[in-house]
Amino acid sequence: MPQIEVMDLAKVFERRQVLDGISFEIEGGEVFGLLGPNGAGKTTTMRLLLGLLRPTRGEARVLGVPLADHPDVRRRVGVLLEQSGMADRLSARENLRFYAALHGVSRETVDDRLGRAGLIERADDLVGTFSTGMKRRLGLVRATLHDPEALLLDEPTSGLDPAAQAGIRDLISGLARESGAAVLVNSHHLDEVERICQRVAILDHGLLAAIGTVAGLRQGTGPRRYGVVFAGGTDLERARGLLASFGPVQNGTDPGELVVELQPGTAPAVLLRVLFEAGIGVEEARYRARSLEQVYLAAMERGAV
Amino acid sequence: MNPVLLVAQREVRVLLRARSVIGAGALVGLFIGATPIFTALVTGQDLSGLYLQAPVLGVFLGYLFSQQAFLREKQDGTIETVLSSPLTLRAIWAGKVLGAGGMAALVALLCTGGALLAAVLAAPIALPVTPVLVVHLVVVVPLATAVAVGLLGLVQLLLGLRENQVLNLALVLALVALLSVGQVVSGPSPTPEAEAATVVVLGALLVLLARLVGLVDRERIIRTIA
Repeated sequence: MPQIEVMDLAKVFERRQVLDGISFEIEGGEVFGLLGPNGAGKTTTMRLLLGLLRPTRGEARVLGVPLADHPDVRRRVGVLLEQSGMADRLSARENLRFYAALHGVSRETVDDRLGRAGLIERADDLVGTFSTGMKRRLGLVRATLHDPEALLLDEPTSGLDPAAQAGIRDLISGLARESGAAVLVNSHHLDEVERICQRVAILDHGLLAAIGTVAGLRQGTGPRRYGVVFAGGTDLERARGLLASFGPVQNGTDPGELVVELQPGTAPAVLLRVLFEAGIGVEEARYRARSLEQVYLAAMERGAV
Repeated sequence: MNPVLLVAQREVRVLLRARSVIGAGALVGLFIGATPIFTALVTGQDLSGLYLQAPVLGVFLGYLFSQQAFLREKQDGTIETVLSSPLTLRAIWAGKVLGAGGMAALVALLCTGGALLAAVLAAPIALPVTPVLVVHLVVVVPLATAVAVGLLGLVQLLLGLRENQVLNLALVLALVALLSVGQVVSGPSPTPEAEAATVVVLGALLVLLARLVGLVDRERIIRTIA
């Protein structure tokens, strides 16, 4: 059974449609990314899942139930929202002990997790004196303190330096892999989502613009990107002219490379024969998967699936 | 530990670190606390003004402390995390009322007691320690303070920052007016029956507020976050 379920979820705020019938499921052990620009509906989706908002239509379930009506199930869920949720006038240890007591977690575990997060030296300092990154790390410690079965994270690495970002990515992946938790990550950091998520949904203006595995979305169902690296000394403009008869052509990332979008059904062999017959030497030719950024931008242009 | 006590403990800790609020509360407390004593010293009357002053002080301090307990948490957004925890809204409210209300009542009683002690040491004012006075200080003052914090907390959860700024003070003044009317009706030194009636009314108000909190929609709180 999926641990997180969103079924035909819609939300209207004062006649403004913020979400319009999105659906997805997240299985245990899976890290699922929700991508989209600001205002796409990512945070609203998370608030609906947490039972902080009521859906206008559809259903949002975590561990099989709507969380609004089940405080006991909220005990098995971890949450990191935009704000880290810590009282500035309490120390890191005091903040964590409060949430630990709510979840029945021992004080020893609190100190152990503070140590693992590299925050034990500052455990008795007021959170108000912490940097944004430290607050974020502490927030993640709080969210995962009780080894939740479902974890909902809103921009978990925002405000963190690259090393800390990598640490948090490892922590999220490890939690899903080792404890079997279902993890929902709201983000607009494409590289982050690409590194840790197995599946991704892209939201645009409250609509589901794309959904699938990261690899599947990069592969795509439309034109396939085919990269050709030409031998040194090749007249690239002439080669570009020949390739243009197969589809739009762009410069590739490698030196001497051109990338053409082949329509489905067009065999690369045909393209290579045309180049060969024109006397143009090819060093390397292969399909190029799209980056998640390209998938994202294409989804934004295309709109709802 | 009971979740309500956990929240209350957290609120007390937060308030103890809010030195400016505690400082302002102590100043207000000493000023209002000393008023009936100075009145008694100047006019030669008894200390019956204490029966109104102590709960009024509790209400004012409740107003100050409720802003820390409820409004601050909405302003900095931590309320979303607290609402996502296993706590029910009623447990959150009750814990905050217990923590902030308890602190406000304690400061009110300490200020009143301090002013009384100073008056007794400075001048020969008779202090009639009766069972009614003890009940008044130990039961009525904390209850009136709790009702003030509970009502203000409920309103602060429901409304946005701007509406709260206007309505909170109006509510405090209304509560003070209500206490004043109560004293006019019961006389300057209330009878045991009047004290008992006050305790029942305040207790009923607190229960009513707890019931109302149970009806509050979480969405309303989230959508009025500053």
